[in-house]
This record gives sequence, structure tokens and C-alpha cells, in this order.
Amino acid sequence: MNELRVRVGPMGFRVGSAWDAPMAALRYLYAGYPEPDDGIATLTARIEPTRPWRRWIRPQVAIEGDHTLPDAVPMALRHGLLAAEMAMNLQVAIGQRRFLLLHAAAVEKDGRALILTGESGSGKSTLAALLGEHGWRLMADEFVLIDPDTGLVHAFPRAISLKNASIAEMAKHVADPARFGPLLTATPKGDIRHLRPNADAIARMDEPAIPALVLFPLFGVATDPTGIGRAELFARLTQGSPNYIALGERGFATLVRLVQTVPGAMFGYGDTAAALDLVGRFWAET
Amino acid sequence: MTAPVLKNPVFHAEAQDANPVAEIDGIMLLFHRRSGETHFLASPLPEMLALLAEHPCNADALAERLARQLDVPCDDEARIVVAARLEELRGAGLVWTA
Repeated sequence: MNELRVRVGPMGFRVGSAWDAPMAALRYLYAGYPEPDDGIATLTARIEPTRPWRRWIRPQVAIEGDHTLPDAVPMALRHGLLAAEMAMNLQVAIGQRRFLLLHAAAVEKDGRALILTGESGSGKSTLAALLGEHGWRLMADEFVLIDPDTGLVHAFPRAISLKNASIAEMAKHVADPARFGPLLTATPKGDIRHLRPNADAIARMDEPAIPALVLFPLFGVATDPTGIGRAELFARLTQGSPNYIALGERGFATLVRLVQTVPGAMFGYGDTAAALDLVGRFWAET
Repeated sequence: MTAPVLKNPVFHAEAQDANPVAEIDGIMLLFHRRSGETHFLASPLPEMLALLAEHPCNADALAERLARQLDVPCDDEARIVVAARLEELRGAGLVWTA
């Protein structure tokens, strides 16, 4: 069994596969990350042949691990890296109970966190990746971790999953091409290329931040920014949280505290320069 | 065998401190411990729950108590609204009939 042990923020992973190629890609993407503390991985993800013979004949991979989804669709082996990333996401979403998870990205400046959330395709990942190259520290791309005890955001700087047009956009802003993983074409989500967060994001992955602002960017048509009421913010964040219900009362208390202390707003944007400008203006007023 | 349908049933609600609540933008967020559900309750639902927690009663009596508290007339419209909201609360498991 080919295996990778890696720690991302507070979570230790053990990722395994019967195949070498996706594991080599994963190892490349997580170069420079630490190993789990004391060698203990709390989350295990595996990508395996769907049937034993599928290892050799038109190979497909299935996502497995501590937790599995009964209807997880097997993927082509050439998308094995994506399958490994999805397997890691699945283990986090279902397996961990220490943090409230928000389906969001986050960046930090001066000890305060900006949370970017919204539907898939809203551009939150691209915006967070861009901010991470322009004076902010990237804290998270897929899941934002909120500590129920302190209300702080904990960093979870996984490789950023860039999709379609944002792949070329980010190439303009990242000087080191070695930070990009392989281009995965024609996946179920279109073209995907992973980007390793910069050295600062990895080195400071154990530094939490105080949540300061929640933004809902929406890529498409530029619209005037509008504030979001706290009750609506609560509802939107629960809808985007994979483990709000599992956390029960702790999740409720954590989210109540967040919306009582952190304002929310939404805006539409047509190009990334305008979005960066708007984020800067929001931040100046926060 | 089906349960008998009670005429003019008495509604009950849990004590006010039975579940964690938060008042946000005039809406009561209530985490229902029994079901694990989070409810968004706009007026007059929090007031209805408080009155029933204090003293269980039937729908008409609740309409009268609520109208008195909110200083509005207790007419047919008030009674219809209270009866409809009570059914919603019952569906959510926040009130029950004995």
C-alpha cells in the first residue's frame, strides 16, 4: 500500500492507494507540509480499485476511508489525484467533530480572518487564492474551521482546487510554476488544477485568527454590495456547513456567537480586479 | 385503531429554559434539544411558546391571552392565525397536545 502521512492545520491524514501515480501527485502537492504530530493520523482516506481487476483493466478509483458514501461515483484513474483530494474532504466533512466546518475559504491579515463563502462557482476559491498572493495569508480553501471553545478560525491550508478559467488567471499571479499540480482535464467538474499554498500559509498553519467579516462573492454581473442580516447570515452558514447538525448544540452556540460578532455582506463582480478592490474597501471599514 | 381526535385540545410547550435560544434581528433562533433541529421563530411564535410554557391551554384561550399581551383585539382573524401557527408548532414538535 502506497501511503502519505501529512498534517494540514490541526488534522492529520493518512492517505493510501493501490496505485502509485495519484500518490506521487499528492506527495508532490503536499511537499513541505509537516507529518502528523507523533505520527498519529486522525483521518484515513483511501482510493482503491472499484473491483480487483480494475487495477489493470480500464482502471477506476473508488473513494474509501473511515467514512464512505454509498453512492460515491467511481472515477477514472487519470483523475486519481482529484479522487484523493475528495476522499480527504469526505473524511473531514463526516469524520471530525472538534471544529464547526463552514464550506468556505478564508484569508487572514493582522490576526483577523476574512471568510469567503457562497455556492460552487461563486469564485470564492479563486478570490482567496488571489488574496493569498497579494498580502493576505491563505487559511483555507474548502473548509473553514471554527473552534467552538474560542470562536477562532483555525487554518486548514489544503491545496487549492482551481477550476476552468481560474487556472489561467492564477498562473498570472503565481511566480513559481512548481506550486501547481498536474492539469486534470474533463473531470466531472471540468478542468481542475491544484495549487499548493505559498510557504507563508504552510509555515503559519498553526496560527488561528479572530473572525472579522463574512463575504458572499458572486462571480458574474457586478452588483452593489449589500449587507446581510444576522439571522439570514446564520441560515446561509448552516446551509453551507457539512457538520452543523452533527455538532448539535455546540454547533448552534458556535454559529450564534459568530453571527453576533461578525458582519456579513454580498456582492457580484465581473472581474477579479474589481473583486479585489471591493474586498479591500470592505476590509478598510471592518 | 386510530387515536381519538380531541375537541379543543390543550396545548403544552417546554419550559422556557429547556432549549438554548438566541434573539437575532428580532427573530428567535431556538435549538430544539429533543430533535436537534434549529428553528427560526418570528413573532408571535416566541410569545405563544412562552404563554404555553407558563400555562398550557387550548387554542381559543391562547388567542385571548396573546391578544391581551400584544394589546390587539381577539377577533376571528386572531383565532385563525393562532390556530394555524399552533399547527405549525405542533408539526415542528415544539408544542404538543396531551
